[in-house]
Amino acid sequence: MKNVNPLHIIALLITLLLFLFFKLHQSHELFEQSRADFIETKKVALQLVELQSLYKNHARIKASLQKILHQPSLKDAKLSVEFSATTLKIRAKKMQREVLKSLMGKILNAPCNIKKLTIKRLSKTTVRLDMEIAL
Amino acid sequence: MFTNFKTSATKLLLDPQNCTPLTPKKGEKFDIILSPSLYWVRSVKLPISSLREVKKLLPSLFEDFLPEGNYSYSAYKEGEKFLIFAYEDKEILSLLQHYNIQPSQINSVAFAQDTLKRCDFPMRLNEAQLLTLQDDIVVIIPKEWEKKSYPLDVTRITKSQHTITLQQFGHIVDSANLYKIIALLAAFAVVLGVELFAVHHKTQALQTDKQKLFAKYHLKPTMMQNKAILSNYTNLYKGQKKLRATIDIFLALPLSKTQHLSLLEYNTTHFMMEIANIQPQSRKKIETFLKNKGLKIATTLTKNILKVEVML
Repeated sequence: MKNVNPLHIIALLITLLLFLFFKLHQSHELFEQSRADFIETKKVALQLVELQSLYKNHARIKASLQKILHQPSLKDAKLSVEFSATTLKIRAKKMQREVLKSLMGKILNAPCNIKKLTIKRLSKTTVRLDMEIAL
Repeated sequence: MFTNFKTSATKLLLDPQNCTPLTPKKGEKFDIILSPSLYWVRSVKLPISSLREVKKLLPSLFEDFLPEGNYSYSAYKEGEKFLIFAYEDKEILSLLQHYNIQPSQINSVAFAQDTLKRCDFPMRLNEAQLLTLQDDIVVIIPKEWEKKSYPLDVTRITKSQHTITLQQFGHIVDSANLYKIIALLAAFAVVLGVELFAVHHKTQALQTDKQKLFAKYHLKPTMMQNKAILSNYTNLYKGQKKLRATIDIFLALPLSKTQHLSLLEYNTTHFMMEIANIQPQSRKKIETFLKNKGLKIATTLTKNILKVEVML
């Protein structure tokens, strides 16, 4: 019986197949996990890039706010504007309601982080404004 | 049964008439010589020179000679003729089992025809039978047919070049089918191996792409850090969106000509509004309006001023 018994080869092949099935199952699981990781990473990356472009680009936010504050309708509003490294403070002890409406319309449509906002009605046509925006 | 301990494997003439069981040593191997009573032999002259082609014809060459059974076949060339053999694996294996010899202990199996051909004949096979040559074929004859006989001297037996392999399950499954199964399983194993390689390669490619994403979008080294940053930005975005939506709702309040918003206060944790000239019946109307817009509110009415706190 020097020749290898075919049944032994079959048994060996079946063992090899079982091992390969096991490894393949593991590899498929690893692949699915890697694919899920990749999809999640891409999703997180895209969302992060989108939100960072809105809130992290300080120079762009500052430029956009300066553009709003330099519009002609605000010339007579006597706004007190204070830029610091991290915030912009806008104050008006007394301003016309219509001017406020124009200013707020623009600021609320800009992608900026309003940290504090106080509007107090002084009379039928005037208001007091105190606002702080994070840069 | 005759033994020779000079070689590593013990020579054993397997004969159904000698049925004394052995007590083999552990690891002992046997060179089995089949008695003529365990096989069928024919000397044939065929118009084919290839042994391979002859082996394909063996079942048909024995077709009309053999009784019913599951036979295996063997052949070798001798001069211009072919010696062709038929034997039953199951019969030989059961006889070996009777001798207490396991298949793993079998070193080789050969026919008496080839192994004993060069011995002196007639030769004593057992108590009642002799072996002799008849037309160059080793055959069994009754002891009485010859007056003179030689003992079987295993020391003079040289190992045959024409050995056979016994098929343990040959009577159940044809060995050709076994090889087909082997080929099929091997092919399947190759397919699985290729699939395994491909999946591994794809996984590696995904991991490389993931690293590229980190580099392209300047992400932090761990996903936990990135998720924490994203969570901060998402909360900021949602908060700002809600602030704007809430202001929109307040600006759309159904107020009468005498009623007006007198104060709006917001910081990151607190959002409050005051509406002046509110009567108790108007309060209900405003509350319903705000709640219908999905705001969670708490209100207090003091001196006709309605204070609305919004839960952010």
